[in-house]
Amino acid sequence: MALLTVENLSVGYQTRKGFLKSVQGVSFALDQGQSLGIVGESGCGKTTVGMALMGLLPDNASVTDGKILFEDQDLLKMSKKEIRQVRWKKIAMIFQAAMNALNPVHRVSEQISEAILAHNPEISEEAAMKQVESLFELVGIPLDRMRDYPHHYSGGMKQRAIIAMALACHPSLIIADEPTTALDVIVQSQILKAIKKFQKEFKISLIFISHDIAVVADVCDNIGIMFAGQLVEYGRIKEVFDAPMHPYTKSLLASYLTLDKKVVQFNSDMGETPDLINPAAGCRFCERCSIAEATCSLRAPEWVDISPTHKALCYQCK
Amino acid sequence: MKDPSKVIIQLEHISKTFRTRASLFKGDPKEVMALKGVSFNIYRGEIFGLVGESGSGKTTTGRIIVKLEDPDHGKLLLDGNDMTKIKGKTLKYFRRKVQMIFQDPYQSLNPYLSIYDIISEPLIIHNIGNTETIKEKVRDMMKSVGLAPPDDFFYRYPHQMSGGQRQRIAIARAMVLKPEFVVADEPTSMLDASIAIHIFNILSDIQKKLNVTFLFITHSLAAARYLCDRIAVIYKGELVEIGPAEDIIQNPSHPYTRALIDAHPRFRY
Repeated sequence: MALLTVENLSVGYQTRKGFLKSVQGVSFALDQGQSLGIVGESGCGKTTVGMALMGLLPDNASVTDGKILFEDQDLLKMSKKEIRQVRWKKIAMIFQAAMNALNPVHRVSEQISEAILAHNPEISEEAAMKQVESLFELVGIPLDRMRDYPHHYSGGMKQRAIIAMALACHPSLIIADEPTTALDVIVQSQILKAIKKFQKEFKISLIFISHDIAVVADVCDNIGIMFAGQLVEYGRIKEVFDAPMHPYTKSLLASYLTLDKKVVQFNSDMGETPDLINPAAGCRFCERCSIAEATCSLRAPEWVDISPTHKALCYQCK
Repeated sequence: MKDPSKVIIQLEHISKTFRTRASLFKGDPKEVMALKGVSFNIYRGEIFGLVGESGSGKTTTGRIIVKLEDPDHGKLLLDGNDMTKIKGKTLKYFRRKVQMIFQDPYQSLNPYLSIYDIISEPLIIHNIGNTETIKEKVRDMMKSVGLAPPDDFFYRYPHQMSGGQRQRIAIARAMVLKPEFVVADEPTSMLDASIAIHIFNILSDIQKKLNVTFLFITHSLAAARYLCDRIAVIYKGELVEIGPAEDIIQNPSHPYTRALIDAHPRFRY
């Protein structure tokens, strides 16, 4: 039984220019202890998916279709009060900008104990502080820095504090939205190791959102590639990396710089993200696609199963 | 063309210390030594990579080279002439020859200026050409960075542009004076991986077309390898390794360089 099932999720934003269909028909399932990476460029809707799962969409956003089943309950049908019981206690989030996710006028230890107390009112303040201590040990922040303010911390330490906060209520699902984007490579690899460790140790399910395909490969079991609001390829990491099917996945993999091989001048033809207010009827990638045929722009692509666990949204993949 | 016989920028034993001010509650001011006697040469026509982690002093080095910061000790030479203490007219001339592309295109562009004003501003400051030739130069530059057709972008403002487009505007602004030397400080760290490579290609095309010399500052060895002829690795304010890009990646001799290589995400699954 899957812990989380997302079915045909569609989310849009009311903007001055019209209704922007940010996410359209995204479906996936996640078992307890599994990790899923969602990869795509800026504006493809990956953060919107994360925010919808947390019930944290801004006021101008609305879910137009779909279901989010978490432990067999539809999160979208819950009242605000009910969702508050689930959020942070069962589903926690590691935010993108660690720099801005902490409150600058409160001590770090207080902010984390606040999260524990808010969701477990029966715990005493001292007991909560004890828990914070063990969390700090777990994520590797020296205990004598506990009572510091966020601005005393380096970028990597702030991100560790955010991870401690996400782990505070023993959630069964963590959504990590670009947790290492603002960090340099050395700190990034430390944070990724920490996330992997906790995920394995506590059997937490993880949704890892990133534009960096190599980081996702490092952390996740499954990967979903998003383009212009749609999932375009989904499968086990090994399947997708060994045999990428969708042309967008192929271009993402080809444009990634590795240390293993020297890339000779790569000519990417990166267009702008397609118009999502009036999305095209056919395949949304066809303007940038190298193997597109005339019919691609006319009819919407359908999922093609490559293996029981690997599928792509492209006619040319057959 | 690369010409190893011609040194364009020379750093000699550059040191820089930053002092934090004493606060009301926490007593003594602290000193942070950002650079401890850094020396290297950059040759005309090459792309020179400076690689290191946050706080290693790589940005400080870049800011000293473009004279946004003065070193405490040491010398900065351009074409063999000492530039450490210049001011006035010589400094203005120096600024025409040496330009910088900043890290964050969301903060480096003036939100009140149109794209045309942003790119033409350096030409107006340095009093180069009349209205018509300025317009032509701006158009040319915008085409080279892939903002085409240029006239469509003239009267737009930074907030209407994507991150990749903003960084292209920043590149156009830096290049419009046809400088001889440009410092690019992590120009893609705020951008997506797929857009980053596009920006690298623009930089490398411009480098060939205008024959400028680049100092490319980054924390990613992979990016440095893609773009640079030579790489220097900086750690805690000191250079630990310098050499041809391929050599450094294939045979790193310093343990810190090896740590950087190991930390780089790979497709392990």
